[in-house]
Amino acid sequence: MMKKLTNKILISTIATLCITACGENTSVAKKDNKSDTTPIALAEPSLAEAHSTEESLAKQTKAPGPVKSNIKYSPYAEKSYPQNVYFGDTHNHTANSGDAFMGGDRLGPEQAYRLARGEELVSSTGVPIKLSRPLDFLVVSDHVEGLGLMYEIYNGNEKLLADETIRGWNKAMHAGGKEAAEATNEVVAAQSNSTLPAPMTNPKISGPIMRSVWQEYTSTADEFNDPGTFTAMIGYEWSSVPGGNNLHRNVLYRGGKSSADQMMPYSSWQSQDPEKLWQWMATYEEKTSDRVLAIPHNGNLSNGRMFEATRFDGSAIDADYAERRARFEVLQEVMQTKGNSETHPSLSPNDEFADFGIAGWEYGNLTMEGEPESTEMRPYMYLRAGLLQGLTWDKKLGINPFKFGLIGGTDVHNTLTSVEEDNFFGKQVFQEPSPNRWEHVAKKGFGKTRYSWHYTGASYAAVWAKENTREALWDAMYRKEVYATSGSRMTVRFFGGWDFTQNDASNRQAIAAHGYAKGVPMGGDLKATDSHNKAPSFLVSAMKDPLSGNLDRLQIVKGWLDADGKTQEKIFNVAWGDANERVLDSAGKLPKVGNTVNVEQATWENTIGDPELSAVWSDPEFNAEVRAFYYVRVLEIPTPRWTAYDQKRFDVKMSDDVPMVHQERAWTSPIWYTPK
Amino acid sequence: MGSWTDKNFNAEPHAFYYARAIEIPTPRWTTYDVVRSNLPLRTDVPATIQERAWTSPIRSRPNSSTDK
Repeated sequence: MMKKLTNKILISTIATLCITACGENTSVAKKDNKSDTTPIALAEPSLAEAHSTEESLAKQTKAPGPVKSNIKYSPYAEKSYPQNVYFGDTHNHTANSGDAFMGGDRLGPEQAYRLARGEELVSSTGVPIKLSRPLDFLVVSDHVEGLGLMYEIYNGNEKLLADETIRGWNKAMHAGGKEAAEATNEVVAAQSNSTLPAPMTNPKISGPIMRSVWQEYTSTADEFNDPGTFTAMIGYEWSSVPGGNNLHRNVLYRGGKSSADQMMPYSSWQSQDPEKLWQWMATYEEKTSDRVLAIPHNGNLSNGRMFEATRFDGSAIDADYAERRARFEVLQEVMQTKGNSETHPSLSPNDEFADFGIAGWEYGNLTMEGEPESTEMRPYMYLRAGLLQGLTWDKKLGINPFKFGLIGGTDVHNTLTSVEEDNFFGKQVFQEPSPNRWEHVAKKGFGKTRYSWHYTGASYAAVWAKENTREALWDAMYRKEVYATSGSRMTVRFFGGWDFTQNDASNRQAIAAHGYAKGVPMGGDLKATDSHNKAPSFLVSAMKDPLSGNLDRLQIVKGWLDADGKTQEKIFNVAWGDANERVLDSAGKLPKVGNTVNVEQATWENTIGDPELSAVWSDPEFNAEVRAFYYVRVLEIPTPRWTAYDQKRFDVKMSDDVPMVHQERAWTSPIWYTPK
Repeated sequence: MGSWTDKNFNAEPHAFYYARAIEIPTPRWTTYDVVRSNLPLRTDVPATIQERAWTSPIRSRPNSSTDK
């Protein structure tokens, strides 16, 4: 342990010295890194190396250990599957993001880590904050475009303030309040319209500033990364938003500063085409031997572009495109504070829970520009539809470009990754707790208004991994063994196979053992079988978040490409609470679980629903000839929405259209079936 | 979850309160052994237990108490 600490201190000292001594002469640092990467590898031994050294020392000094017998007793021994689920945020902005800074955020990555690991902070508006429980990991993913530049503008950097527009923003930032908020909207619009003032996009001026901000950030990440306890995964957001259509991607690094500093992150100022980002990712991996993955932003603000049928340049999707997308974009963000992207009522008219996190976000894209959202766009922007498009492409090209797992993130722009309903600090600084925040106007367009009350207290990522380290979490993400929740911390297992029996779900401790022995976990592929007489079976279990509501039901969402090549979807209720009183009707629908919420008091009672649910479910409509996917959705019983807590705590009365009660939920990554 | 008020509370005597939480019956370790070794259950060995938790006590003492 001491050895590891010493290494860490040594590395950060070297890094600090380099930043101080090398100043902004980045070509020197770059040349060093380029000429030989071996010294870096030597300076920072991997965890595995450190452990093996400790073990070999132990071997020299201790007596020989016991010899393994033939007795098999411990159900957990000699198993090498993930025993723990780790909760975190994959999408967090600090004052280093231009729009966050202009919105008033004055807290940097260090404060983001401190809050996430359980410390108390004071928000930028002066409100004390602490999480209900620490998170296990955090990805600070600041917008790389103009990384740190707004702070320089605020501080009056002469080269930047030579521009009149920038001078105006400087003035507005110092004025604060409404003026600062309006300036933020101007920056977002200027970026989406590619009309940012020249000094900001001139690499000679902005390059060195952004590079030093990046290197300071990666140092902070290494400092707070505490293997086994708290993971500070390095990341950034590539913020492509052509015409206000949100195509952002968060890029997540497996490695640490020593590799992440070798190249500057890729900016949408260089290109708004995701394929150019993948090219950067491939180059980075080749250069550093590190790994990166990209998580596309919530698709609900993309106006039909997230899963569009063409490449960014308008040409047809081909197998090469599909292969690269499937390789680099293994996950999709299903929910965050700007609503939910699972599906839409117009796409899924038979899904009685499809209207979650839709209100306000369905008006239009990020900036409410161009065209309003239409039913024609929806198959190309919501995730269930995207997964279905993927099956179609797979049939056509032999490879599925949209074979993604489902993950969550917050996208908060105030450093505070706090999205539980009773502790919701808003997306932007001006949405932090205050009596009238709910009616603040976020955006107007097409005769509609997006208010702060439309923002959702969401979401968190859940990762099944063997240990809480950058490497183990990243690997779990890459194999899609992850799920998303709308903010609570349910524990959800999901396995698919051919041989599960009802008995496998009866023993709580043995679910994982049966699951991994007989099947594949969430994110995996059902192995195609020769025996077409059999249907696949699925082992599902969920446990409630001890601080949140009981569970209403477990559902399996099935999507498939029928014999005519048409996409289909169906939802199966597979386990539910109060099962002695609730019975499925002939159409497979279940009576509502009820509602114990007292809106005035912002309380509820766990007198309905169940604390845990499990089931083995076999697909009664399985057709071995067609492509399909299956994912699990878990619903909690109704609980108060953040607006109900605000109404109670601030003693205000919100308008009747503001929802006060909702059902929190979790979505797992799918398991796919492909015919032989 | 619940709250409880001591309706018989008398401020004079010393008292303590601790909480005990009791699970529903689950198999005792001996039952796992029996099942895994494919042996018959014995009548003289308990097959189930109710796992439980005990908190540290909260004490109540009269204001006039001189006990330290």
